Amino acid sequence: MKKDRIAVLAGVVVLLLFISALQNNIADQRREEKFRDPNAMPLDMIAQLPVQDMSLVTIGAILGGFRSLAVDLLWMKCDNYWESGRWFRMLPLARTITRLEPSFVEVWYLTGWQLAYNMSVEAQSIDECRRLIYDGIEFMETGSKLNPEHYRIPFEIGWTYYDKLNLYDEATTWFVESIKRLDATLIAGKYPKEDNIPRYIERLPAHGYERFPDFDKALKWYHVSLMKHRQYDNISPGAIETILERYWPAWKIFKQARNAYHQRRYDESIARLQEAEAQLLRDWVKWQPNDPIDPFALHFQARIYELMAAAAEGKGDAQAAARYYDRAFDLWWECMNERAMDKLARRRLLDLYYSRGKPEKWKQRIPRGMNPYGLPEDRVVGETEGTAPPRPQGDVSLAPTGKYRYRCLKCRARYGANEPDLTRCDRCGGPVVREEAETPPVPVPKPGIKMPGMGGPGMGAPPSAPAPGHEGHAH
Amino acid sequence: MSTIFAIAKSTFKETMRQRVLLVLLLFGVVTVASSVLFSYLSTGEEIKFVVDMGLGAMLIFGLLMATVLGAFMIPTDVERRIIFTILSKPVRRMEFIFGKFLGALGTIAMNVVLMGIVFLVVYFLKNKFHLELTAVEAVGLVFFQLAVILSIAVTVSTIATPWFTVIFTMFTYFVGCMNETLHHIATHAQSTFTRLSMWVLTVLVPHFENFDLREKILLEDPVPGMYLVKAIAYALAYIAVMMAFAYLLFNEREF
Repeated sequence: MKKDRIAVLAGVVVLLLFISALQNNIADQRREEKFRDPNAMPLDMIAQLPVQDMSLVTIGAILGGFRSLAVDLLWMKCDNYWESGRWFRMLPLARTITRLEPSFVEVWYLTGWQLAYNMSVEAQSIDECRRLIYDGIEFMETGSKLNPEHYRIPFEIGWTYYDKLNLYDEATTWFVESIKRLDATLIAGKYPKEDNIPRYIERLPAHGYERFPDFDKALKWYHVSLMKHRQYDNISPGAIETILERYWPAWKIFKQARNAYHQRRYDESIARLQEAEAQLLRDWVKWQPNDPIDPFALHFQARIYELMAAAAEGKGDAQAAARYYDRAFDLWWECMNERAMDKLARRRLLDLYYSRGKPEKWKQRIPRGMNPYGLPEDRVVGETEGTAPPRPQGDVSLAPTGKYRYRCLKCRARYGANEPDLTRCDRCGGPVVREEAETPPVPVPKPGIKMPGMGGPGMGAPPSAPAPGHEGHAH
Repeated sequence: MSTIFAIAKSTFKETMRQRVLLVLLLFGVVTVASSVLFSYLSTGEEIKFVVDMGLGAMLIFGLLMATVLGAFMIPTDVERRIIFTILSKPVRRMEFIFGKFLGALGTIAMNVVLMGIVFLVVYFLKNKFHLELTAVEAVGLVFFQLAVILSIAVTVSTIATPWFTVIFTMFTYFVGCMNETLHHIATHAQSTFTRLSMWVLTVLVPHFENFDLREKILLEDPVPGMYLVKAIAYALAYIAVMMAFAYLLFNEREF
């Protein structure tokens, strides 16, 4: 009996040593092959979590090896807060979840989205709003670092830059990262399980660069998208064709002008830019005879004038530079007015205003209403309530009535005429297009007569209804 | 050998009739099946919810079953004096213990199979009619995890009261889930005594995270065959240690 006991004890000791050695081996293998998220918070640090939103059951579950289940329950609670609009309560819980289970990807990008979109709109000041948007982006960047193989988080960061901030270069950097990760996953044979894997990621930089505009990069990304998703992408062929028809001839000349500018050949640069504008307007009339509010063309036109102004400054011609900056400002102002979602125009307007030393003549036309961050813009000093902003210099009505409404593409003048096929502007000789107005034109008051809603005599007609949007062009 | 199997068979039949276990099984199956409904309440990856809740429910209810079975099996026999009848036959105490353990293990296996089938069906439906081998392997490792818990409960029940056994087994399970922390203390504590005692604890208390394949299921990563062999070898070695302790303790016990 005693011998049996000794034998059994010896066997137990041997087995325990074997178990110890085997356990080390298993632990090493688990670490190397990532059986567990290496970034997950260790249990001995659990006291650092904010426990006010966690019940004892949840804490017990975390300690008892049911961490994933506890995380799921906490996420359901977050979902509850989200549905009931209590976004700020959701935030500490979301941070807890990301510490317990950093590989739970949805938490990262959904919380980042909440910060950048929902919470920022509820901010009490523009600074807070801006901070919340960038907090959302930073939150997602942390998630992206901790999940280096997952494509979705960099995609969402890129989308936030693209959609919320209209910062296309930053957006493209993140879209490229997302594409790299998605391609790596596909090459490894692990197709993401989601139902809605975006097949348009490659096209998003193209859409952004069209607006900038930078048609070289836009075409490049459209071609990449077409190469990768030919059977799904029915937008890129049309978009490429549109760019080549409507903007490419002018863009080629613009690039020559830009090269000349960089080589300090300012006169040549200005001459080429004027050629580029003329080409742009010719193509505009040819391809879009009924659409005077093409945002891409307007953005392009504004960029042409910005570069003209820079070249004029380089030449030392301050007067010409000021004129060109005024034109650029007018064009951005028109873009912003016509399309409320054109945050790029709004931002360029603000950039020009501040970079030119806040000229008085522009002060009253600085954007009011929602700013790029979704908050009411601060009022510019000197504004009064109910004052309608003056229309741009070029935007004057030359004739009070007319069966057809026209807009000059060069000076942006608007007027009515009875001829159905006007081609040249009476004021500047530039090409005109006919607007397809849905409402009758608003009569222009005679000088000295005040109409309701207007600041005073000679202020011009109130803004008209926006022209119909593009059709047949990718956005 | 035949004695062990005879005891195992009768234990199995007896435990399968226990209402407590049937209720736990029913709850377990319902919880696993309802994970598909709960997944709709979760924003994002529904499959994660199904896997976490399915495997979690199997583990929770399996843990309760193993603890209750292991804690009450032998003391009940002692209380009802059935053990005298058995031990008066030419049945060695070790055969009795091992037979009881195998019988209870059979019951646990049956329950795991039932809950596992429900889980795999739910997973199959939720995963776009695709079944990963990793999910089946995870169910298998749940069984081995519960086998380890059962062996602890059976061993302690040879000398302790049932409720003490339940509490001790649950406590061991929680400590086993925190083995990472113990290992961390064992390697970083300043006091030699603390380091040594923590090391002994990490060796004696089983590492239940060895049996966790949740991350691999969600990533659809295959589990290396060698890892499964090591995890099962670990479980079997631990069970052997527990059975050895049970033999040492039960052999000395007087009735």
